[in-house]
Amino acid sequence: MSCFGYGLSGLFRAAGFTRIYRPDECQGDEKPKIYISDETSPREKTAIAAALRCTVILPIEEYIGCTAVRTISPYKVITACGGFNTEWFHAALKRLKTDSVLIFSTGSVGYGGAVVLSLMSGAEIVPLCSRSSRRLIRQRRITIGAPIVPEGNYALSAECVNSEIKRVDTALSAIRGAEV
Amino acid sequence: MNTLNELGAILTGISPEIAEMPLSEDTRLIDDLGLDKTRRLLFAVSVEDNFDIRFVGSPEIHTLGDVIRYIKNFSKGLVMEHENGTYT
Repeated sequence: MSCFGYGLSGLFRAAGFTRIYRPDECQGDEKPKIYISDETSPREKTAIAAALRCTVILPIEEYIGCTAVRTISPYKVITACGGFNTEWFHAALKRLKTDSVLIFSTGSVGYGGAVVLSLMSGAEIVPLCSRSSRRLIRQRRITIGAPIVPEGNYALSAECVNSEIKRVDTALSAIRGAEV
Repeated sequence: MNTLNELGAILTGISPEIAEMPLSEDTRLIDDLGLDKTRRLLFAVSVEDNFDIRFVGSPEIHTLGDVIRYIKNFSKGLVMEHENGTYT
């Protein structure tokens, strides 16, 4: 079957189909993970969430104020109020028993929230980088990095959290660098 | 051990430099203790675990005194939701 000379895959790409690239060590592991990305545009967040089909944590202002992110199923969204409210955190911990979670580095959750979640749940953090295709309109390429397994016997000290945050930052920079 | 001392122990576990600081109910979490977003989350989760409470709604918590009052009110079942969505 051919569509404008690109074939069936071209039909999917023309419709905005997202391609996901994973390193070999990520294959075949069905355990829930905490994906972390540095995308800031609501449209890009929505595209990544749709591609990964996992629960996404968003600041409540963003979820209410943006029509793009509200196309994500409400069941797949956990909203974070900020401040001292920890409802999102406990909801994410519960959700991590069965589903992966997607967090963005900006906003009220960020790297720190992802790391604390990882240390408390034991879930791996998986950095990812998303780029629009230069050749085809609305195609998106998501590169998923190697998982970061929490260290330090899940200690909830600032030192442990800071060290994990540095590992996440290094891993995200490495993926961004590989994409350039 | 009173509540303030317990909170101090939790804070010292999160940020060891806080052990050197004098703590009172007026000590501000951000301005005086320098807690960033991640440390505040760690503090909130540790307090919940230690005192068997939950931080719900949008509690106005800026000082250690606010935390102590919240713990007491929660334990007495007095955490109430107001019309504007905040809890006291």
